[in-house]
Amino acid sequence: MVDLYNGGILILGTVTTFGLYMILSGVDSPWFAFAEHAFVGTAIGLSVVVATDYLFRTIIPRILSDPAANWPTIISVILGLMMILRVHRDTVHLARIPITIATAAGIAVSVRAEIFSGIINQIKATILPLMGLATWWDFVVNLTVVLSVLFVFTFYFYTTEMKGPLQQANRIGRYILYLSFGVLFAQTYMGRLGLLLGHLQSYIQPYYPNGAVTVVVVVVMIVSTWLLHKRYPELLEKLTPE
Amino acid sequence: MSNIFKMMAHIDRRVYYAAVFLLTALLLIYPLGLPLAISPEVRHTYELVDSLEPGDLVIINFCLSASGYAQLQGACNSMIDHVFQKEGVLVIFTATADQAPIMLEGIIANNGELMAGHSDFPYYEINGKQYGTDYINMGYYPGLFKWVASLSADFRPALGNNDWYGNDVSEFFDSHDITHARDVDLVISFDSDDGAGDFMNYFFLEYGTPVVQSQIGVMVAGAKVQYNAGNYAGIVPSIRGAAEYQFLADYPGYALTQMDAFSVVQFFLILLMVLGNVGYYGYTRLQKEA
Repeated sequence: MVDLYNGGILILGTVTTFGLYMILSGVDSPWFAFAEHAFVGTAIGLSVVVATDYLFRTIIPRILSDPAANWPTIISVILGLMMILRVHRDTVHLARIPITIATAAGIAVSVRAEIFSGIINQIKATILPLMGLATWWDFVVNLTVVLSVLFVFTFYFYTTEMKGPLQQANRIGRYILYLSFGVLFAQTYMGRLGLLLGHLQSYIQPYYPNGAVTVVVVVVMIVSTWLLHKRYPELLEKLTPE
Repeated sequence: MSNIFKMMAHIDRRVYYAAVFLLTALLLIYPLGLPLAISPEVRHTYELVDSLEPGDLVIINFCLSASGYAQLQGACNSMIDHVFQKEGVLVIFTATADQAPIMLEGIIANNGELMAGHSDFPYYEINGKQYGTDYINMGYYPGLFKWVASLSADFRPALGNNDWYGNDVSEFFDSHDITHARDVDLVISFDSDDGAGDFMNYFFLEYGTPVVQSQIGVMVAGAKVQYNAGNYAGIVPSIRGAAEYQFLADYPGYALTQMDAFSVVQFFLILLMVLGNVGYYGYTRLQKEA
C-alpha cells in the first residue's frame, strides 16, 4: 500500500505533469496555470536555496579559515553580491561590473579549449580517408561526409556569382542542410517523446496503485476543467491568469 | 474522394495527441518485445566502463534537471550499477545543475541499500561499495564550465573537503592519494545541459581523460558530432542508448520496455505525416481542378 508521502508525491506529480500537457488541448485550464506557476516558482526557489547552501557550505568556511590567503574568493563574493544591485535603477550600472568580469573571464577560460574541441578536432573529423578502408560501408560513410562538407561549403560562398557547376553544388549543399535540420528536428521530437515515455512509465507502473491513481486524477482534472468552462467561466478566468 | 482528402487534411491535432498518449500508454503496459540492435557507440561505452581496473578513479557528474530525468533514468541506473560492479574502482559524484543532487540521491537509493547502523543519506552501500571508503557524493557546484576549468587546474581546492552533507571527506582523497585532475581515469556525465562538454574541454583536451556522455534526445545530434570527432570516448543517447546499455549490462530496467513504445509511436507519427500530406496535396489539387 502506498504511504501518505509517496501518495502525495504521486498525485502532485500527476497533476503537474498532466496539467502541463493540458496545453495541448487548446483550452484554458486552471491545472495548467497551477503547474506552470508551480514549476517556475519551485525551480527558482530551489536555485536560490542550493546556491546559498553552497556559499555557506564551501565558500564561507574557506574564507573564515584563512581570509588573507583567500582574498580572491572574498572579491568573488563581493562581485557576486554586486549583481543584486540590478534591482534598483540608481545602482543598476554597478551590477554591470561583475557581469562584465564574469563574461570576460568565461570567454577567456572557454576560448582556448573551444579552438581544439570546436574547430580543430571537428575539421580533423571531416578529413577522412577514401582508400584502404575495411568495408565498402566505411567508404560510403566517409565519401558522404567528405562530399557533404564540400557541397555545404559552396552554400556559404557569398562573394562569387553562382553559375554552372557551382550553382548545382550550391543547390545540393542547400538540400544537405535541409536534411541536417530535418534530422535535428526529428531528434528534438524524439527527445520530447522520450520525456512523455519516461513520465508515463512513472505514472502507470505499477498499475496499482500508480496507474489507478493517475487515471482517477486525470479524470478529475478533465471533468473539473470541463465544468469550469461550462458552468463557471468567471471562476475559470480568475484561476487562469495571463 | 474529395471528402476523404479533406478529412485527412483536417484531422484535429488533438486527435493526434490523444492517439499518441493512448498508444504510448498501451505499449508501456503491453510491450511487444521488438528486437533491439546495439549501436557501436553504446557498445564502445560499455566496453570502456567494463575495462575499468582496481584503483581507477571515476567522476560521475550529473548536469541534469528534472525535465530531462525521465529520459536518462535508465542510463543513470544501469551505468552507475555497472561502474559499481567493478572491483576497486573509486567514484566521486558531482553535480553541475542545481536540481541534480535530488536525482542523484534517487539513483543511489535505487541501486544501493542503507549501510548497517545508518538510517539516511549519504550512507548507502552500492554493490558492496561503502560510502566514504569507495565513493563520495560532493554534490552541487555552481559555475558550470568555470568550475570544471578550476577543477582541472586545482583539483582538491575546487572540490573542497566537505561532501554534499557537510561531512569532512578529506580522508577519502588522502587515503587513495587523489591530488590532481590527472588522477581521474574516466568521466561519465548525465546531461540535460552540456556538462560532458565542459569535462571534455578541461579534462580530455588537458590530460586525455576519456569522457562519456549520456544525454537527452535533443542533444544527441551535437553529441554524435563530438563522438565522431573523437572528443567523447563514448555516448549513450537518451532512452534508446539506455535500453541498449541495459541489454548489454543485463540490467533489469524500464528502458528496454520503453523502446517498444518509442519505436511504434515513431512509425505512427510517420504514418500521420504521410496521411496529412497526402490529404493536403490531394485536396488542394482537387480544388484547383474544380
